[in-house]
Amino acid sequence: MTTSGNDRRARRQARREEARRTGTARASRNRWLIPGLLAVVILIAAAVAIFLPGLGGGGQGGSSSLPPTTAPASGASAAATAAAPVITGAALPEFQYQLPDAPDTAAGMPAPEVRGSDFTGKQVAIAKDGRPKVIFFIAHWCPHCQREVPLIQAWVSAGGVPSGVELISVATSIDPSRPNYPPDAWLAREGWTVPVIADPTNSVAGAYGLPAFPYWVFVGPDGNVRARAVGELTTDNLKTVMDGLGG
Amino acid sequence: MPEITVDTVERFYGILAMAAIGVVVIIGGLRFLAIGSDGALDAYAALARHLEPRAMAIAWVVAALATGGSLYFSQVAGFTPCTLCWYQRIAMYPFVILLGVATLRRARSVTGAAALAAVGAAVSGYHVALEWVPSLDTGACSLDVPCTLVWFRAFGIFSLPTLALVAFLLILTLLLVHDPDEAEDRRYR
Repeated sequence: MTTSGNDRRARRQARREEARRTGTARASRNRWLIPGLLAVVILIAAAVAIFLPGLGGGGQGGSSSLPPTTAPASGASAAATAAAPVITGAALPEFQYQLPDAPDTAAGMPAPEVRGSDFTGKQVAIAKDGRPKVIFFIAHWCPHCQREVPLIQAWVSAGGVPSGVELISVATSIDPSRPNYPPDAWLAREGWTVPVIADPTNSVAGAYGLPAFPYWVFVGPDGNVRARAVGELTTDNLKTVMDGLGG
Repeated sequence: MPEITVDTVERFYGILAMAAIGVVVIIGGLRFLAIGSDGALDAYAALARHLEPRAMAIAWVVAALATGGSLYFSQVAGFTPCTLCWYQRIAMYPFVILLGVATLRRARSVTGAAALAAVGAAVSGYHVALEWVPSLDTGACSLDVPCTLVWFRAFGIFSLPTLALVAFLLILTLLLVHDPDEAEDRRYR
């Protein structure tokens, strides 16, 4: 311990000596070394960023999504031009998902009926037709929705949805300035086969009392709301709730 | 001259972040190795002797670049800051004044500055974790700006909080650089 302490002290003294001997001469020469290096790094970063645009810049959204230039060839996405759906019936109160113990005041209320269309213009409706329904609200920029959509699609493809229950998705909160825009390109990439209602003015979201994403509304065969939920749900949870809806 | 787009600026900060990580790893690594190796201690001492008198000014440049980037991305690019972004801004923006004044006054240290940088790094670290594992959060996106929303990832890695994390760590590293010989001299004096 003492030896190593003495060793260290000796080395330290040698360094001090060396620094003192060459210090004054070096100080003036090296004064600009570090600031110069800093300036060079900043300039190189700027030059590379400007002149090498092929360097694989910002991926948008969480997943390995495509750059925004891969939006449908029409330029402006169908997301921006989709017509606002027609809604009939009273709006549901906003779902208070942060108060899990409070009873949902919307339970038993009739679900608003919606006549809308998907991004290709095909008619999609939420109608009082005697079938229980699960309505799934998604936002293209929401990472939780981005994770949930492939899970649901895999479950749908595997035939996991209980027969007789209708699953409908609503693409809402569409914002060109946010990541993973447009929603139709995202859903196409995910191979989304669930019917989609485009909600360009967030009117369907408003009518269903949406408080956050992803958002779920479960509707019984009588057309009344049974339950509502927020967040990522497992397909096991979904199946349990769907089985309870009754056909 | 190619047009300077938001993409360009994202890449610019991504490259700076890579350089910053290099500096943090070199300084931090030497400091760590110096515990057991005399050669590393010699190298660290030589580096620290050069760096320490300028560390405050370099840290100021880092804080100014980070603040400039933060304002560019929110005001020009239109990326709305979330709650955690605001906490990081609260930790980063004061550095421009604090370290600027300290540089002009040739101060060798600023009381509390390293702690502020550490708090900023902790918030950024949590935010970065949220971006990769959104389920750490409540499991849902708020209607306005959820903190799990990733506006961009330059080079597949550098999101806004990742850039902030790197900036905080570099500032912290620079503020903690001290010539070990000077400290030992004081002890033996």
